[in-house]
Amino acid sequence: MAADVRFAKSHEWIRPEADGLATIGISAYAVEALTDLVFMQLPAVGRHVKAGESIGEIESVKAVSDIYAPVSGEIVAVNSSLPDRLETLGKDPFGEGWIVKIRPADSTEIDRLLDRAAYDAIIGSQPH
Amino acid sequence: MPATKQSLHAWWDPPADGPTNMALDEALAAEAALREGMLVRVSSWSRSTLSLGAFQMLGDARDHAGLEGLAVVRRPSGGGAIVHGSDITLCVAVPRGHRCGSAPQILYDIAHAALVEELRERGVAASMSSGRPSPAPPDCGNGSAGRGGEPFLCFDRRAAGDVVLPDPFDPGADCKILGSAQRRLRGAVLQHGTLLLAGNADLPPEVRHPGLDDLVGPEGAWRPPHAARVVRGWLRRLAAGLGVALVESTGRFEPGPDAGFEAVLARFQEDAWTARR
Repeated sequence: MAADVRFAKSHEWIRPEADGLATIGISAYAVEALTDLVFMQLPAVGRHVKAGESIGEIESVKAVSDIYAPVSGEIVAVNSSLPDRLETLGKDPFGEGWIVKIRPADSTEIDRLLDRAAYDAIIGSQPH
Repeated sequence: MPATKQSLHAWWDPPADGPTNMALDEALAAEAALREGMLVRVSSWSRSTLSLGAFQMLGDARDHAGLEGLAVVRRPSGGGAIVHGSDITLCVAVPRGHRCGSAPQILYDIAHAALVEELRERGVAASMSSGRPSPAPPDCGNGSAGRGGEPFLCFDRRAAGDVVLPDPFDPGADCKILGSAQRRLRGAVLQHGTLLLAGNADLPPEVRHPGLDDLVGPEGAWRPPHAARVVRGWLRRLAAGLGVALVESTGRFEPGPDAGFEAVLARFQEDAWTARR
């Protein structure tokens, strides 16, 4: 996992890429907590979103959760094969399990998110 | 606004239609986030209504034998479809930061274990399912499959933690009487629990699931108003398990002024929501 990956409190991760885009996924902790994923709905490419806005939904056997945009921007790509191989989210959450690529409206928004240590501290305090 | 961090606040609401119940439940979740404590809304349905899980196909409901003519509403929560009308809905809302809000199974197990305890105290052999897939016997429904091969109806499914009773007509089988499903919102977790009190007389036998009254008896002992005793006991045990005080409201749940209730209600009334899939 790249050192510059950042996290939202709502368990999405975001990683700036060399081309100015950023890749978004959900953390291994979130996948493990949801258990038994059965369905996923992705956003449309071209959609403009604001930080905190829902960009998709994921269903496990007993719960539906929203996936939130950690930063504002335009959705430029989605991992369209992911809903057909949801196990990838658990096996490789920071690689093949990426969800969308976004063109950030303001790249400094990423810097204001949690770094790995701060995120680990949050999930370490959660009851299991 | 009363502080609720150290209390469990519960409301007993009158019967309502599907969209109203869904909108009130979302408002309850918003209120839980504001109050930073667990809230419960006990409700029922003014007519037999099919509630779809968030991602279920409306077409599957239309094609399902025995469900014709029912009012339909789509829940924000997941899980399988439920025919309401002979049940009590136990809506539990907790803030995301609550100790029960971090993972789905935590709230699921706490709410369901409290009901198992209450029923066992009353001599009912209730237990929590291991979730192992089991074919639904005829007495428990027709088991028609939906997306992913899972039965379309919630009460034909078995998930870990579902509250089940032995099937009196089929040794070794069980019948589910309480199932729950969640919507994990930004600020709160909303859990819809359905406690089946009796088979729904509006349904043909092939899709009618037995409830407490059918499985335990004597006839009528578990229907309203007697069912309130079980739910009240459940609330007490839920609060005791969390180590908080139970506060039962004398009035119905009223959405907060900032909850945007009318807009939420309109969303649940719209065909665009019900037919989103």
